[in-house]
Amino acid sequence: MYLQIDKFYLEIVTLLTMITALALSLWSARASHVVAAISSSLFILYGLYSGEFRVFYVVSGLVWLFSSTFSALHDRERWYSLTFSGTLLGIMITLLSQNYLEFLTGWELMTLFAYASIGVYRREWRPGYTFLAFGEVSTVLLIAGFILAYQETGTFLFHTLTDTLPLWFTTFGFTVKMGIFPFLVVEWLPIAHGNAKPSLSSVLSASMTLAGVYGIYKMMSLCPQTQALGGVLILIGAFSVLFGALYSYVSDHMKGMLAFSTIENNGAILTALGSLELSADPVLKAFAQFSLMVYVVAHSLAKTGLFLVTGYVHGESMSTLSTERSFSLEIGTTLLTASMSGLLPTVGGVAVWSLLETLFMESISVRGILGLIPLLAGVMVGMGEGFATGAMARFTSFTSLVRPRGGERGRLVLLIGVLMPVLALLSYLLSPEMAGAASLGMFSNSLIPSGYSGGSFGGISPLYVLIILPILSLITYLASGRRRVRTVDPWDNGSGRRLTYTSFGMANNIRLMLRFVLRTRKGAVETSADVFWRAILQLVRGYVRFSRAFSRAYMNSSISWYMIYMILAFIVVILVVFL
Amino acid sequence: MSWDVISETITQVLGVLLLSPLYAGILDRLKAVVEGRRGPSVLQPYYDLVKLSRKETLLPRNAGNIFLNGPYLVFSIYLLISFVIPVVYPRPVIFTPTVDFLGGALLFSLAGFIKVYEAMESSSNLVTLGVSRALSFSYLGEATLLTVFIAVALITGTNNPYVTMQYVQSLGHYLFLPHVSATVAFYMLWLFETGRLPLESSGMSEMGMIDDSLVYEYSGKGLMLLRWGSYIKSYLLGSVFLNVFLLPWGLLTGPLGAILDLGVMFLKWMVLILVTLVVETSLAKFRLFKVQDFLAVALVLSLISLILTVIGNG
Repeated sequence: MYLQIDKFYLEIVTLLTMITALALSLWSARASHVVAAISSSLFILYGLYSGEFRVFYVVSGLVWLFSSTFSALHDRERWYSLTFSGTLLGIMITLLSQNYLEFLTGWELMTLFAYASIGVYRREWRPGYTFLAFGEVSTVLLIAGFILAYQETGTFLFHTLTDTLPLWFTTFGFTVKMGIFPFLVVEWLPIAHGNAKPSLSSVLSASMTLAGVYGIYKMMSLCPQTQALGGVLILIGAFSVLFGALYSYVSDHMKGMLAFSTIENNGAILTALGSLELSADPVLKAFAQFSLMVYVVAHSLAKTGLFLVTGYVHGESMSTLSTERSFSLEIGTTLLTASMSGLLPTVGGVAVWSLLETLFMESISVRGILGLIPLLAGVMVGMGEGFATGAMARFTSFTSLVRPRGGERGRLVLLIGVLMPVLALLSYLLSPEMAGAASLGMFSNSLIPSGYSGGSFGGISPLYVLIILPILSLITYLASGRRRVRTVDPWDNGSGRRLTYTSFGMANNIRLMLRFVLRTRKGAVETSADVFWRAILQLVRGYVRFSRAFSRAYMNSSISWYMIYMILAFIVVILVVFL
Repeated sequence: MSWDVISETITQVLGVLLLSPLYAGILDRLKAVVEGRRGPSVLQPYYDLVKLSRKETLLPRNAGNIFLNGPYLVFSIYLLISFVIPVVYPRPVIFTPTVDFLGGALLFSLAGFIKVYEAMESSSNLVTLGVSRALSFSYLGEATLLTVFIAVALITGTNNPYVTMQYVQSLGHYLFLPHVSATVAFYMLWLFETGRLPLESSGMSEMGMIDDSLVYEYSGKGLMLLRWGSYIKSYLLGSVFLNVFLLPWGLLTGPLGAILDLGVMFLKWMVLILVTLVVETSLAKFRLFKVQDFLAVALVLSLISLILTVIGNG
C-alpha cells in the first residue's frame, strides 16, 4: 500500500513536471528542456516501480532523457521546446492512461504537437500534413476498436474482453502510427520523421512508435489469444523488415534512411508480437515475450542515438553532407550501428538472435501449413538484416568514418553507444528464466530448454562473448608484437585523388540488381521509386475514375435514381435489423 | 574442468590456427597443377604470413583507430568461433556454450561488419568500390547462412551444432532430402563466403574483386591478421560443412583422439578440396551481377529444405 501511494504521487509529480516544462517553454527553451529531462528521469523511476509494462516506461524515459539533454545543449528556439515537451507530455499521458479516453487524449496531444513541430521546423507543411493525415487514420481505427470494447464491457476502463474484434481494429490503428505495411506504405513515416529536428526525430522514431507497440501489447493483454492475428502480424512484420531495410539501403536522405530503418525495426517488433499471439506453448510464449522486450530496448535506444548523430551533420543528402568526425562520434556510431545490424555482443544482437530462434522454434511447434508462416518470416528477417547491415555501414561511413578529423564532440552519442553492449548483459534480467521458462547466457549450459529434441534448442551468452572477445584480442595484440606505423596517402591506383565515391554510388548495385522491385529508372543518375506508394496512388486514381463514371451514370440528379437508392437502403436496413 | 577437456580444447584451437593456411596452400597448388602451371608451394601461405608480420604498417592518412585495431578484433572473432563449433573435436570444449549455430552466424557477421568499417576508414575509392560490392550480396549471403543453419536445426530439433552432428550420423537422417538440399546450399554459400566463386580474382586487378578489395589498403601485421583470419574463416565454414553436412562421421574422442582428429580432418579436407578444384576449374567466369543469381539458388535450396521439413512434421 505504501509503495502504491508512493507510485501514485510519483506519477502526479512526473506529469506536473512535464506540464511545467511545457509552460516554461514560453519563457526559456533551455529551462524547458532541462525540466523535461528531470521529468523523464522521474518517469524512469516510475517505470522501475511498475510491473508488466516496466520496459516500455523505462525505455521511453531514457529516450526522452537523451533527447531532452541533446536539445538543452543544442536547441534554443522556444517554439521548438513548446512542441517538443508537448509531444513528450502526449506520449506520457498515453503510457500512463487507465482508460480508453485518457489514452486517446494522450494520443491526439502527441499527434498534434508533433505535427506542429514538423511543420514549423521547415515552414513546409506537406510533411506535417502527411504526418497528421496518417495520424488521424490511426485515431479513427483506434476509436472504432475502443467503441467495440466499450460496447462489450460498458465502461471506458481497460477491462478484460472476450471478443477479438477490438484487438484487430486497434492493432491496425497502431500499426499505421508505427509506419508499417500495408498502411504506410513505406512513405509517410520517412517524410515526417525526416523533416523534424534531430531530437524530435528520435522521439518520433523511438518513442512514438513505441507507444504504438505498447498499445498493441496492452490490447493483447486484454483480449483472448487469436492465432489468425498472430500469423497476419508475423507476415506483415517480416515483410516490413525486408522492405524497410531495402529502402533504407537505397535511400540517400540521411534521416529518411534512418526512418526506413525504423520501419524495419518496427516490423521486427510486430513479428515478435505476432509470435506471442501465435504460440500457445507457455515456454515459447515466454521466449517470444523476451524477444519483444529486448527488441523494444534495442531499437528505441539505438535509434535515439543515431538520430542525435544527424544533429552533428550539415546537409541532408548522404552524398553531399559535410561534417567532421571525432572519437566519440566514431565509436558511438559504430556501436549503435552494430546493434542496429543485429550483431553480438550488443543488445541488438540478442534481439535478432532471440527473434529468429522464436520464429524457428514456432515453425516446429505450430503444426501444419501454419508452421510455414514463422519460417518464411524468419527468412525475410534474415534478408532484411543483410540490407540493414549495409544501410548502417553506409550511414556510419559517410557521417563519420570517411570524414576529416575535427574537435571532440558527441559524448552523448558515445554514452548511448556504450549502452549497447551493457544492455546486452542486462538482457539477463529480461531473460525467460525470470518467467520460469528458460535460461539465457549463463557461464555453462546456456541452452534454451524447450519441448524439442530432448529439451534443448539453442543458446547464446552475451556475457561470454563480451568477456572472451577482449581477452582474445589482447592476446592477439601482445602475441603479434610491436608494429611500426607509417602514415601515407591511400593508393587508389596512383590516381592521387581524394575519395570521390559517393554514398549514392555505393547503393547503386542494389538499385540495378533489384530494379524490378525498386522500379529503377536508368538515366544520368540511378533513382528508385517506392512501388507501394505507386500502387496506392494507382488504386486511388482508379477509384476516382470509377467514382466519376459512377456518379455521371447513376447520380446525375435524376429523381428516379434517388428513389431507387432510398428503397434499396430501406431494404438493407430492414435486413440488417432482422438478421 | 578436467585436463582432458583442456587438452582437447588446445588441440582444436591450435589445429584451426596452424592448419588453416595449409588447406589454402594445397588448393592453390592443385589448381595450378590442373591449369598446367608449376604453382606455389603448399606452404606459400605460411611464407606470406611470416613476411607480412615483419613489414611495417602503412596507415592511410584519414584512417585511425578502427583501421589499426580492427584486424585484431576480426582475428579474435574467428578464434572465438573455433571454440564453439565442431571443427576438429566432436564433443563440446571450453567456451562451447557461448553461442549456438545462429549465434555463430551472428559472430561471422560481426567479423564482416568490422572488416567493412575498418576498410571504409581508409577512405579509398577502390576499397569503397569493393565494400559496395560486398554489401550488395550480403543480404542473400546472410539469409542463406541463417536459413541453412536453421534447416539443420529443424531437421534435428536443436540449434546445438554438436547434437546436430551426432543426429545426422545416422544414414537415414543423412539421406533425408531436406538435409541433402541444405548440404548443397551450404556448399554454394561456402564458395561465395571464401571468395572461391569463379567471378572473383585476387591480386591487383580490381575488376573482379569483392572480398580482397576490403584489405586493399592494408599492409604489415594488419594484413597478416586479416589474411590469416580469412584462412581460419574458410577452415571454420568448410569444417562445419564437412562435419555437419557432408561427412559427419569418423571423428574420435579423448585427448589422443583429438590429435588423431587432425588427421581425419585432413582427409575430409582433401575431399572438399578435390570437389572445389573441379568446380573452380570447370566453371566459366561469372559476371558480377550473376553472383546474386548464384546466391539466390542457394537460398532457394535452403528454403526448400525448410519447407520440406515443416511439411514433413505435419
